Amino acid sequence: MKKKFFPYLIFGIATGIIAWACQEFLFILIKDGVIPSFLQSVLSGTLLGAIIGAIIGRLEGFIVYNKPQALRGTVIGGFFGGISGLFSFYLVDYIQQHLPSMVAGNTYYLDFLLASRWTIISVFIGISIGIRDQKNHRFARGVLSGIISGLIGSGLSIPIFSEIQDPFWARGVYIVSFVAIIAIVLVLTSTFGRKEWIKALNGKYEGIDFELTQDIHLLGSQIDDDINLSSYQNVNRTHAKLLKYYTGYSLVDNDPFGQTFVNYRSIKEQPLKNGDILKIGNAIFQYCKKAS
Amino acid sequence: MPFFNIVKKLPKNGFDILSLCFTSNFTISMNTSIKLCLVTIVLMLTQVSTLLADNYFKHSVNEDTVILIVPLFIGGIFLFLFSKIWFMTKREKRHGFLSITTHRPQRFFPLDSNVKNMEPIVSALADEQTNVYSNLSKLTLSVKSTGVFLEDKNYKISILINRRRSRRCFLNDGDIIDMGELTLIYQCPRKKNAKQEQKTSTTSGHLIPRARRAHAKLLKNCPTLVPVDTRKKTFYLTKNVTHIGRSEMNDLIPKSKSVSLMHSKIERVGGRFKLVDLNSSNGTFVNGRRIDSKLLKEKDEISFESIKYIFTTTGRIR
Repeated sequence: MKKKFFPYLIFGIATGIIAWACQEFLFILIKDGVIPSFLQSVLSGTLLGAIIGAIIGRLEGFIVYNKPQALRGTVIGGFFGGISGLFSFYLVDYIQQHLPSMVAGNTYYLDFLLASRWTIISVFIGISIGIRDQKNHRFARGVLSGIISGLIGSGLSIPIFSEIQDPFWARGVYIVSFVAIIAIVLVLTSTFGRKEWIKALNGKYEGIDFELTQDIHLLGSQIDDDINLSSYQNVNRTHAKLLKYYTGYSLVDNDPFGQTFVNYRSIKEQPLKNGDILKIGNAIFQYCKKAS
Repeated sequence: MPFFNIVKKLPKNGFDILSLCFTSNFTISMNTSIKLCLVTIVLMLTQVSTLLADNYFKHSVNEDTVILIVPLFIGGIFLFLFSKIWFMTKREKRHGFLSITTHRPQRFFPLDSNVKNMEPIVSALADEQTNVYSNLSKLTLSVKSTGVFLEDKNYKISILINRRRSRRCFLNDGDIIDMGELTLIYQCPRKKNAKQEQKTSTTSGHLIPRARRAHAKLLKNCPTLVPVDTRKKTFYLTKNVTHIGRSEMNDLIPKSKSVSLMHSKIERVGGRFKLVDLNSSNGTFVNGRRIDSKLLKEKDEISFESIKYIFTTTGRIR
């Protein structure tokens, strides 16, 4: 991921606007009587959670043209987001209806209760990111970012809903700011606990860090490759592989023309060390390892 | 791809949750999580009366706001696509050095014509802890309009340019300089040199090879492939390995459908040339016989189905 906040902020705002528009469309359907009105809050919760989760899960694969990761992210993120929205909105309704003695005395307590459902949604989105990547430290990172963004977002909900009187604009402002916070926290925590990564030094991906987590990473110009280099010259389909060993990664040449280099020397297989420069076709990467 | 196919592809064992924090083998898998969710949904359906509670997300909709929904949706999608394009577009490169030392923050130093040594660059980009094992005042830079010329005037060469030891070098865009523990990358907005290199490299096999500098003689007797069809160009075997095939990565690209993507290659083996077939579908022939690998002799006729070449070491057959 690139460490730039401003583009991610705009990504977040855009997803927030999309989710908001879909939710308002659902409300119109309910007003016309297509959907029974007692399902309003639960359905809006599932819809919001599913859309936010799907787009946030898709984001990382969408940026670096990694199609399988993007597809997995949309499906798993949408599923978990939807479940979390349904669960959290239902829970709040349940407490309001069946335990009125908890809420009746203090209005601040009700506000706190209504705010807490956003924490549940953001934590579930973090979990979905962890399940997408199937790695422990990714899971921990997702949960951490979910907790941080959920706390900030739920804290923000109290002033926004008390200040803005019109419910349409209050909902809109809150959803957009909530998703923007999630996107920014994801960027901030993207370096937490990573061990090995390669940094692109030229071309289209300049400045982006690709984190290495799997046992095999495929580099090449094919769609299914983990790191898609189709925008570079002299790159074949599945040009090279990064294999994981106990000590670290090693680069394996897979093309017949000998266009894979480590430190500007043509290689067949080469174990990598910190600061090595990989050249695949015309693309240049730097291999970095966490300081021990 | 349907949802449940993806779910099946995930490993059934699952993975440890926060095993960094907890040592116990508490695992969760996708199937069990789906079951848990289904159970919670069923539990929710048993108590429908809770859905009648009231909060912000149950206010009725004003009719004025209906107009805004479709433009908001389209605007959101456009903003999403726009932000990706904006994220990916490169800014114009500035002229200077960028430090890419690992575990250090990246910093940039813009170059002027006033800079004579590497001293100001290293003092700006490196910390006090990094060791640069050289006398920096003797690493001279001469900045011109066309580019930068770097020269090492120390007694022992202390820098690596593109991971090779070199005393003097004209820097191109994307060149990497190592000075002790510090690594720098040179960035330049112009790419004239790179373009020229690409042009020469793609057509190098069909041009007459230049004089070699070490011997200061013209290569008269260069081994060549002369086509039987006189309209085509002759090919000079200058590299140690030349690849023949229809894909663009090859050196010699015969434009015929009977040639495979990677057809065959010619290696230099101890002063002689060896033709090796790379499992091509239609086969390579030498003097009319299909071969797997063969050492070439003078005036051998190499053919890939319809296309024929004659191999000579002197460069003249007619």
